[in-house]
Amino acid sequence: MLEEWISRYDKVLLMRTPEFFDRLVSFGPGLNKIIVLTTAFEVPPTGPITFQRISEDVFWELLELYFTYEFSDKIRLVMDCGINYGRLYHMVDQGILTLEEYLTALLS
Amino acid sequence: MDQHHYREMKQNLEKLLVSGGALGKDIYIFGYCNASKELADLLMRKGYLVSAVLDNNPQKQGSHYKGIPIIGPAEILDRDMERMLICVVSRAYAAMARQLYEMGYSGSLEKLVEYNTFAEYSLSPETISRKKERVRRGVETLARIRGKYQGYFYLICPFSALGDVYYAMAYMAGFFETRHISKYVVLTVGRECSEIAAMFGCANREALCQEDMDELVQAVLFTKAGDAFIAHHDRPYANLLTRALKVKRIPFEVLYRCGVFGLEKDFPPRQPIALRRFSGRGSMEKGNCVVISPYAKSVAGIDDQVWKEIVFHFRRKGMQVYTNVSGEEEALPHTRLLRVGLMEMQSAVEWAGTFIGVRSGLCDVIKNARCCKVVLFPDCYYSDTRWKAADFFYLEGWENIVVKEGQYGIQWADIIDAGQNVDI
Repeated sequence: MLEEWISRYDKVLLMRTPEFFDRLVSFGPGLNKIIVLTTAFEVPPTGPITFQRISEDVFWELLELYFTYEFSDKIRLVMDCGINYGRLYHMVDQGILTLEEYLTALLS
Repeated sequence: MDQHHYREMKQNLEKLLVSGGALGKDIYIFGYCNASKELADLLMRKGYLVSAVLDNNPQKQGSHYKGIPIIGPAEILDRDMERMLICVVSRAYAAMARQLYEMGYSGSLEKLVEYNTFAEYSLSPETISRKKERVRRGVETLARIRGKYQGYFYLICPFSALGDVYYAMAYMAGFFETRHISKYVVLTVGRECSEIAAMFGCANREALCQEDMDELVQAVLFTKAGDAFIAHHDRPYANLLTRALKVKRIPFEVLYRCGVFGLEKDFPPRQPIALRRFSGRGSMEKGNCVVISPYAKSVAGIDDQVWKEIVFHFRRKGMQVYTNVSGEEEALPHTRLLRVGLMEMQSAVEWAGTFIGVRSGLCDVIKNARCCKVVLFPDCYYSDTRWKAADFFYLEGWENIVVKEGQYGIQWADIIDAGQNVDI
């Protein structure tokens, strides 16, 4: 399944929480092919962005592989904790990027 | 490009040429950067023509390097691909290879430098198995370091670049305060980077080779180590900080302060505390010397002719001119060799009176020196962004000068004397 996501989409977002879903949906038109893989219970209907619910097990399997090596430059991991390296979202926290700019950067 | 990677590139190119891999081929280079310029120079010195440099950044397309056109990758599709040899000396090799094959490229492709051991765009069981083995080795290295420094926090500077380590050291104290960390070890690549940590008073330091460091970094990611932090602006691959440059110009130092460490915009950097007095004071006339630093790996070099003119200008004024070197680097013609440890460097340029260098990590190391400081930038774009190197690496309190290709003449010396900023 992972190979198919990587070949079909320009960006594959791994997001645990749904906090940016609304912004992403409003962001959607004009974007390239994007899929959001999430463990959140409620996902928006698929529009310009495809949302797909995945199980906790699948999420952690993907995460393990993602942290084993860089198998694609299309993956974007969005996590709010457990990160032991610099975070793009710090730029929002510190008022350097707006949330829109953050999402634009994330999807670039 | 650092000397280690330059040697690797040269050896791999030699092997390729000896094996006949370039025979009858039209040679292209993918990625317009400092390293690719060095490869182009090397090929031209060996008598080979480079047909074009491919680059995805539209800002770079349309320009030339020593007569070689910079073009978009799609432009090769209507050419005879079977005759093509595309050489890559970029850390984005895996992404470039994928892009070329997805475009339908069917010619030869050669990676001449192993810059990025993290990436391999394959999900084959063999690749996964090999990468798991790499993680296992990294876990062993991490365990060895944990055994030596039990109960410590591990601050990791994952790449051999002085400026990167300098800013990691300048802001780590604020980061440690927020996490209530008092015992820490700084892990760097190589002795010089470890010396930067020493300048900031770090007593516990471990220097690794780049290969071991890459494996360790992978292990820190894989195990989600809570007692380690990777302090870099664009490594490893999971770090998306430089994506911010796609939407906004953000200075290099701010990426460290706010992005890497999550500190507030006005958080003050710590200054180096363990600097030494310049030991060569007896052989250098105080205040009447110029230290020139022409070597860098993060940005492209400046044309030799510009350095010649600068050397000529200051010699004509009766000043002693020195070239700062390390490793196998050579002094510029008509200059004296200056080989000074990093801890003495600030004192050395203060003693000399004037420093002129291409933008490199050394400029960060001596950024607070009390003397005339001039930094030269090649007129090029930083990585795949729309910002010039000077936009990203600008230094406060310095004369920041952009050198355009082919812009020769005495005006450079006049500008340096007048202390003006140009094109910033």
